[in-house]
Amino acid sequence: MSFCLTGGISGNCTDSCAGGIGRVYIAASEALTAVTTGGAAGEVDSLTMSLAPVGVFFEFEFYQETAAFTETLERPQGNASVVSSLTGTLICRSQEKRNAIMELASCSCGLVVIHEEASGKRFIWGLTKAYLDTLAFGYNAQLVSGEGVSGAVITDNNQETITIEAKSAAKALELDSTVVIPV
Amino acid sequence: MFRVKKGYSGKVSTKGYLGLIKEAPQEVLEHLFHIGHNGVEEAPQPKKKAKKKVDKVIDNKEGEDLPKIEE
Repeated sequence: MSFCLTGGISGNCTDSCAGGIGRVYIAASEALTAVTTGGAAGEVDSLTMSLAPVGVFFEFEFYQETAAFTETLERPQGNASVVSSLTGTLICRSQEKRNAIMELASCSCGLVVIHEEASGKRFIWGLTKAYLDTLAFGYNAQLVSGEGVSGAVITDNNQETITIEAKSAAKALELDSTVVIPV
Repeated sequence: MFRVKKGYSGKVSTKGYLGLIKEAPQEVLEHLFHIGHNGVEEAPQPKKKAKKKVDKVIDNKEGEDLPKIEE
C-alpha cells in the first residue's frame, strides 16, 4: 500500500513569478500522436508528432498582456474536474485572423495547447488518454468563444478575442525544458 | 540497443532532439524506452553465427603401424 500524499511543498525565499503569457502554440488533436511523462517530477518530456501528414504546433501571438491562462479545479462530489482555459486577444481584425479563428472553430476533434508563462514554465493541456495511457481522463481543447470588435471611437480597440478550453480530470502538465516544440 | 517498433513513425522531440523517431540516435531511443514510449523497444541480441561443422580427422592410433599391404 502507498499513501495518497507523499510530500509537501517548501517555500523558497527567492520565489517571485511575474504574471502573464508569453508564447502560445496550438496543434490539431491528430497532429500529436504520443507524449511521455518521464521528467524528474512527471513533466512531459517527449512529444511525438504525426508524420503523414506532418503534425506541427502553430504559434499564436497574442497582444502583450492580453492573454491569460486559468485552471479551475472543482471537486463537489469527490471527483476532481479541471477546466483549463486560455483567453487572448489578436489586435487589428483581418482576413488572415478571421481564417485562423475559423480553422480553430472547424477543429471539432479538438486541439492540444502549449502555453509559456512569464515565469518561463511551459504547460501542455488538452491531452487525452490517446496520447498516454497513464494520463487522467481528459478531452482535447476546443475553441469555445470568439469575439471580434471594431471599436467605436479612435481610442477603442479593434481586435479579436478568443477563448480555448479543455476539460480534464487533472491539471495541465509542465513541459520539460529539454523538449523543443515542433513548429 | 534500442529500435523503433515496426510500423511506428513520427517526429519526436525530446532531450533537445527534434527529428524523425526512426533517425533518432541511440541515446534518444534509450531515453524514450525508459520513459515508456510505446514506439520504442529493445532490439534483440544479434544471433551468433553457427560454427561450421568440420569432419573429424580420423588418425591412426598413435604408435600403431598402418597395416602392411600384402604383396
